[in-house]
Amino acid sequence: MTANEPVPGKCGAQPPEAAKSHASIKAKDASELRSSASGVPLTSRRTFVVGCVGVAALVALGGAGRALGEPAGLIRPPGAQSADFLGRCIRCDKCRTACPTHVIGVAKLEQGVLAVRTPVMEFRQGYCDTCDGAWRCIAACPTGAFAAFDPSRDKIALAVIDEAKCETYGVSASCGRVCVDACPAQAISADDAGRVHIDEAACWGCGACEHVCPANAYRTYDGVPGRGVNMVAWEGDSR
Amino acid sequence: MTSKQPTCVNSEKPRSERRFEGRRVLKPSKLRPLAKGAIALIVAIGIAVGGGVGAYSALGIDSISALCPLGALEALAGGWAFVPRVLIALTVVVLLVLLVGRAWCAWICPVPPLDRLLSSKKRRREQARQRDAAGKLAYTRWQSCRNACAACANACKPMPKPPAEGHAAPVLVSVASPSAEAVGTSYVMSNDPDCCALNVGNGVCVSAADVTPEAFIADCAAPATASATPSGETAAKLVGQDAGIDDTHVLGISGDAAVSAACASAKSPAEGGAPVPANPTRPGAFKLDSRHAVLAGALGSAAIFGFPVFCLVCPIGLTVATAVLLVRLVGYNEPSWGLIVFPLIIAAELIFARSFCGKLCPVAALMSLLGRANRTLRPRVDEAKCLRESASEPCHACASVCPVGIDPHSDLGMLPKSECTRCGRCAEVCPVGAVGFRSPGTVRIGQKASMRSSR
Repeated sequence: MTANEPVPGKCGAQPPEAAKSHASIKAKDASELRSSASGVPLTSRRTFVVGCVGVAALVALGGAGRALGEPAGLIRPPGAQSADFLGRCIRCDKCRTACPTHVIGVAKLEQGVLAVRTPVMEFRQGYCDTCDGAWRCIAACPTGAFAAFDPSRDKIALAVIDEAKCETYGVSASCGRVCVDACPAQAISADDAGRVHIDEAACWGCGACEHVCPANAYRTYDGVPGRGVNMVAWEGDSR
Repeated sequence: MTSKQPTCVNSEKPRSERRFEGRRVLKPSKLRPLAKGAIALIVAIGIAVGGGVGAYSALGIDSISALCPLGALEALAGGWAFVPRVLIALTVVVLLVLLVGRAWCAWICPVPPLDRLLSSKKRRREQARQRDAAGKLAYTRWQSCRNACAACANACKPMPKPPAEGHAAPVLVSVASPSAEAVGTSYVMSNDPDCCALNVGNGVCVSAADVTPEAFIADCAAPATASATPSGETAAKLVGQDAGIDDTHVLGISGDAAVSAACASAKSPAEGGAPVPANPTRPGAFKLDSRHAVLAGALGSAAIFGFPVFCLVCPIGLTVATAVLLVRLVGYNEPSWGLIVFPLIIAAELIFARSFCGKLCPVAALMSLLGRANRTLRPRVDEAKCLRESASEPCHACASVCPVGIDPHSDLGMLPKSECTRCGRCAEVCPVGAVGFRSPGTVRIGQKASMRSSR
């Protein structure tokens, strides 16, 4: 055996300097390995690439969503009027299934990437009856995207009479002014001439009037959507 | 001593032929479709008629919801506010995952059945083949390190960097071993401390004359010597052998034999030698993968752009959305482009990403992060019954059938036990019923009480 050849069984036969330097290298490497596995990757290259592609795709999607934005005029369920809503809504469909009158519908892809699958009000299908004060949609939302809604203060939408279609402005008021009776806030009233008007302060947008209005429905439909009274999105501040 | 790879008892039998003879218990493979089907039915009815049941993202009645944890985090990130309701729901889900780990994946989530529906027979066969290869690999690793080896498989990459000055180039050597346990293993001999430390994790040296994995020491570097052809007399490092499947590393890298001879004074930790540090490349160790990247991207994107971005493409959410649009079409006469686009997106995710659940799902990533703390209901093997312990019938059925790539026996698979989805396939396939999800001594899934005493 040469002097250089290590002797089996004699680990300690190394020169002290070498042993120390090796020991120190060892300690450093060992601690690196234990703490962050440097030199030993946490993941493989292919996984890293797939991960990067996924992250990039999500960022692109987010940017596209924000850039394209949502269409104006979407009417949201009670309590969902705030700008925060889109950030908190996880499109879980719970509010829509909780609504007993089925007035809550779902926005389509045609209405934008940002709004797709979020709840919108469809007053043709129903109207908001507050669930007798239970506000089930607000209660059902798991992420609290719905703020508390006070009909005396907030509005879901605003009723607007379309004088071209409303029968009380036309030749005959054969509709029977059902909207006046339907409104829970007494926000529609007929004047001396028999024409109906909206009290904008009282209306909180339940949509009962649009729901019952027979103008432009069935036999009177003229090919253009819109009834005698229509709900439009309310852009103003709460009263 | 033979180098023939032992064939496993049951892993090659087709699933239809495996039977639980004489056992009349509910098998997980029957329970799981029932559970998933029942929940799918409830969700579908809820979508069609209402009632506030919610869908997969928020299962529950009215104000009580089991909220999707990813949705919860995205809502917090997108809304930039702390909402108590969300935090409470998140806490509940976290507790559930701490209890049952990724059980959502096997028992509730609609994506795995969709994935199976959309994958061709060829792809399913390929997946089965890969699982079997992973099972064999786990078994080989177990073989190599059954004696508490610290420097086990998956440690080495072909070393691109040159050896340190004064050290000889690495050499790979296969040593015929006199001991049955070391059949098929390769040995690495190295005098390069970087090679040792980086590739074999502080190393394990064995005297080649008595090549058993017992003789381990922590420190086996020594200064370079004249490189001699590695001979049987010199010490070697023990490294496992890959089966060469996806994402694993080529072994090899060895060094100058002479140095390692210094390690021959091997004293195992039991004998008072230096403690063997845990190998950070231990196969069962937790690894970050592309799912976690997608999770980070989803949360980051939600925080930047202010809305839950991943919800737009989540296959779970899109399945629900397609059902909703179908109901709107049939019930309310509302056609929508989404009826075509959403299924296309789902198909793109499930088909083109070869494994959505394993590579992309951020909900799985969340559960895997939380699951690290989970200790309950994990698959456990009864060593007294396990065929691996019997030298004549080596078996890796449980590891070969796992859809996630876990080795229920020794946790030496591609992924750690914390990723277990509690599907129960390992318990079902074990030919002796050695795998269970409860503590030993109680009746296990798929096994009659009387079977416990057999063998």
